[in-house]
Amino acid sequence: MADTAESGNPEGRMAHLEKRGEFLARALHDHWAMVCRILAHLLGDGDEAQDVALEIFRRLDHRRPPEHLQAYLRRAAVNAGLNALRAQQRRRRYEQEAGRIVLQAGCAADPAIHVERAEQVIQVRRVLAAMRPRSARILILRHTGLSYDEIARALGVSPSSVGTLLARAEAAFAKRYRAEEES
Amino acid sequence: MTPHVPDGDLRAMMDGALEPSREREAAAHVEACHRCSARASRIAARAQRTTEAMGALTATEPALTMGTGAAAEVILREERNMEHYHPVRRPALVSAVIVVAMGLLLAIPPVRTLAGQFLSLFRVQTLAVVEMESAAIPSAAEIEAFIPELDRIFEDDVTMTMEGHSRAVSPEEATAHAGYDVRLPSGDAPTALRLSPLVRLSLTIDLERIRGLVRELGYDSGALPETLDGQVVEVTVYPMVTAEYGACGPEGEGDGCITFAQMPAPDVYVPDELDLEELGGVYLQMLGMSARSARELAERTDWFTTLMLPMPQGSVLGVETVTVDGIEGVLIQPGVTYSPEEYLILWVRDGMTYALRGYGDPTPALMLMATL
Repeated sequence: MADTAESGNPEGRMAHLEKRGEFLARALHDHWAMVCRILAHLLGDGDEAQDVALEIFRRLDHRRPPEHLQAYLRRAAVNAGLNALRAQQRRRRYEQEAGRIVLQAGCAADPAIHVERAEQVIQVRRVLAAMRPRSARILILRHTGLSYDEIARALGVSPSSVGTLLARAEAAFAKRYRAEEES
Repeated sequence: MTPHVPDGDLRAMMDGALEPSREREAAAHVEACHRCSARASRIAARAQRTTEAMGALTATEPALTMGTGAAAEVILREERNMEHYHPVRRPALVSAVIVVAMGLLLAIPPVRTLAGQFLSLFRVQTLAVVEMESAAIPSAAEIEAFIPELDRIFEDDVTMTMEGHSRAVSPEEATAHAGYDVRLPSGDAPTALRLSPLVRLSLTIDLERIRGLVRELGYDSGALPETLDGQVVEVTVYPMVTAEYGACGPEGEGDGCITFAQMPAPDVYVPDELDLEELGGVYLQMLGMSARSARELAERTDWFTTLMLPMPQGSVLGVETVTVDGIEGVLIQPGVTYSPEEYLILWVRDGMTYALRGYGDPTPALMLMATL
């Protein structure tokens, strides 16, 4: 990347790191909690969520910041989270994860309820990981509590198409979720 | 009667997200129309089921312990450790790297998209060999001519971050630090085992420079789309574990020396603007195909899964399919211009890429892999 920072000039490099630090501090202050929260719910693991969030902020280039930083970060969080979910699925870690979720659920009056909830979480994650990314993205954003306008901005689509995309995504989700329940 | 209400409007109506006038019109229609009313009920039921299921994700709050200060510190520390990449000044190697790198860019995985709308993740899944016409191989003079330009590209447009350095490890350390389950033959212990670090490369495309480079090599640069300019290509090369068996020299050479390497397929993030079929055609033309044949093969090729390995015609003793590690691999025996007896076996299994290198008869190496 063309910048004095990487060209070996120590003063340029310091100035670059300082500017980079200021930009990062602002972006992290405004959006770190939001990105971590999206990822934590999606992945069910705070440490992994923070690792993925770090990667997202690392990729932020202060020389060419996205026009709508919040929308960009929401989209990046959902995409990176979905990717991490697929990686989890590849490693066949869902079964192990069930045990961890049960432990996280804590003082269960009826352990059977918590096992059932853990299984439901696993099924939801499996369905999201298997769905077309475009559909999974809109479901996650909607269930993060975003309005149609905010979803449209995050996905770069027109607000009037959000209803259509959401209806399609829910139909696809319902179909796969039913298949998961039956399998 | 007004036209039927589309699914999207029915769904938006449930969330109160329609324009007031449109909502009144749609609601009046649904009330009078059995078909739309039934559809609205089905859509509402699906939305309800989805909301309930997705609600399970937010039922627990995983602990988040890292604050913004710590996050900034981690990212900036990593950037302070950033190292420069210096290209190796070996013309044949440089040319091979460029051709293979283009192939890597064209090896696409099926469904994964990442990091925003503008980036896609590409991943090698299978290997294919394509013969490269001798005339298509740039001459030594042509390669020498573009090295200064290549240097400038690497200096200005490419950054590389390495997490640590290559080092000797025990089998236990290899698995602990590689980030994946390291597979080694169960028979003989390796005479040497090394772990290379994770490497991140980031290339900001300067279209004029890349076009100049392609022209310098004697190829048509017109097919590289304008939209590529300024885009960022990111490559993550995961830690590689290299095991040596037998008596090996410092470069893994020597009769009876077998080198076995493994690493996850690299992640390559490229701009969505890339027209892969078109680029695949350019790549095949670079390998010496006529424009028409290149276009036909590019259309037939599943660029989503295939890494094309270019093999210069006439300089190859043999390229054949072999069974290794329970699947099909590619056995390449380069010709007299390099090491006459050297062979290379490549295969991809479960997202991991494996390479086996040795000298002479590959049978002992294949037997070694039978105990993997």
